[in-house]
Amino acid sequence: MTKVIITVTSSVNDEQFKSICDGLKRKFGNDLSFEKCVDDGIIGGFIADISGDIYDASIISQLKKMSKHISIG
Amino acid sequence: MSEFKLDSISDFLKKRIDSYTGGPTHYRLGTVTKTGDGVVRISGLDKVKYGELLEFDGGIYGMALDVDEGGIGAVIMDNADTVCVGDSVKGTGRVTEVPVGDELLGRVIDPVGRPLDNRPLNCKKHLPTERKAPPIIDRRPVDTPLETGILSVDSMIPIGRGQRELIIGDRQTGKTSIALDTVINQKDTGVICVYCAIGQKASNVAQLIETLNSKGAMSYSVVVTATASDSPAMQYLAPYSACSVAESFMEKGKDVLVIYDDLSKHAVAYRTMSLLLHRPPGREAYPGDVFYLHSRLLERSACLSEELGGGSITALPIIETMGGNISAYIPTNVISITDGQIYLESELFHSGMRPAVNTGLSVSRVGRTAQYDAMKKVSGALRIELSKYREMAVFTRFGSDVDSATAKMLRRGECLMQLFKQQKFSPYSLFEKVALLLAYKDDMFDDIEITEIKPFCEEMLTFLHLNCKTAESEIMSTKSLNERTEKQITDSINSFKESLANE
Repeated sequence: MTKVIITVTSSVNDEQFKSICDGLKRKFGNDLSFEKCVDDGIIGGFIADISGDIYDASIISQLKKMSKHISIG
Repeated sequence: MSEFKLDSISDFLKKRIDSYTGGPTHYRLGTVTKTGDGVVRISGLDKVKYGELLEFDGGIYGMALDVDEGGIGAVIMDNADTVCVGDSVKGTGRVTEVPVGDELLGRVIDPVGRPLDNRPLNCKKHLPTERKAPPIIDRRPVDTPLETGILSVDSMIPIGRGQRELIIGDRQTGKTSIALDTVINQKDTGVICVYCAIGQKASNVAQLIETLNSKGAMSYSVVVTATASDSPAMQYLAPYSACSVAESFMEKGKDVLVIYDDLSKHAVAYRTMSLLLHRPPGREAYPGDVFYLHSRLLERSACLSEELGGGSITALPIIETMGGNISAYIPTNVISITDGQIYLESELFHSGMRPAVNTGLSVSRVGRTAQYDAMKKVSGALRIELSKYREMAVFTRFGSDVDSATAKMLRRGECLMQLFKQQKFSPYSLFEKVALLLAYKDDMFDDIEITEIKPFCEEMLTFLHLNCKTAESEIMSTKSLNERTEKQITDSINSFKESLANE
């Protein structure tokens, strides 16, 4: 059983969280256990930590990436 | 007007936002489990490559150097104090890189390419610091000289473009001066110089940059520096970065001169890193791959074939010995890798012979192929004469009587030693070197006091510059010496001597 830590904002409800979990299960198989971590600092989206493999779909890191892209290209 | 500016700014921003291709990202994250002395252990980053650049919390960079199942050993390049146990580490997927290109000329950078002269750097291209040396098929033999402007070196230990010539000697024997003289002599030759300072005092580097600036040599030079206060990882990286900078110029078909000052400090920095990473120590506590450390660096010097542009990298690595011991571990290693060495002796230095080149122990394995015709003609028997002189000088030290032939030989030898004395930062041109050696060859110094030879030479050269212009321009353009020009020069020297006698 692989433990997956999913970071989301407090506005995410149980139904939305479950759909994220289902999506990850489709991609990585059913052998996953989920843990929810709430952090409003990510603004929106989610970050999934699958034992060191990070899938970052948060708004904050996209904003950071965009600001870097605009400033240096 | 301001409206137009606003428009153009917003247009620019819109364009940049349009070209942004974002989306979710995937990366691997590890955790620092141990830290100390600039070395960290990391767990969790199991797909990291050897030498990969790692990003710690707070934008600090490190390099993965120990990759095993239990975790990763990495060295931190910047301030190691801010990295704590529990910090997360991101693998960047890139190896260490350095900016390259013409924008670097006249600049001072650190080994990862950050400018150290308070001006922004606008390089568009980057190259990894570790690159493979050019294969055999891409190389051609070394055949063009790289003039140092130092009479003793250019006449007896000629350096060719693409050669690796070691400068070795104790501290304070003028190693850096020889390298600097060579850089200064490359003015108007199209050769680009890269000076790499490793583990040196910052004050020395500042002084050196000042010298290069005052001699107008900075316009064709790049300085890559990791001073003694920089982390061992930075000092380790410095020569490889300098080499990558040089390679970018070589690949454009240019001739490049790289100076690694000095590789003994580089080996010490690598030893520090290796011991902290718990690699087994070998002889003198250096790790097992200390030979490979320098051989892979110096193999990157090359003379590329015409199809690849015909560029070259000439390397002048510097090694500092302890008490004149050239058979220590690192000196013997580097001597065996390079194509010859210039050996500087503190005894000669203190007896007033500057540059203190010991011509007996110095060699150039490329030899005469890397010498201009004019130089070949006048420097033929210098080495043999000098070695005979040294041998005889030892025997006659106690004031024994000698026959006239030996006395003549001793006299000529002393004369030559005087000729080889040369002021710092005042390189001789090819014409000047040829004229001096021609005068020596024709015994023109025989009636001059030994102590008067040097001032005589300086006056003679000034006279020749004024009165021998056609010969000078011919030698400088054709690089060869025919009988007519030879006669012209000897005649001028004779008339100069006559004018002195008449005064």
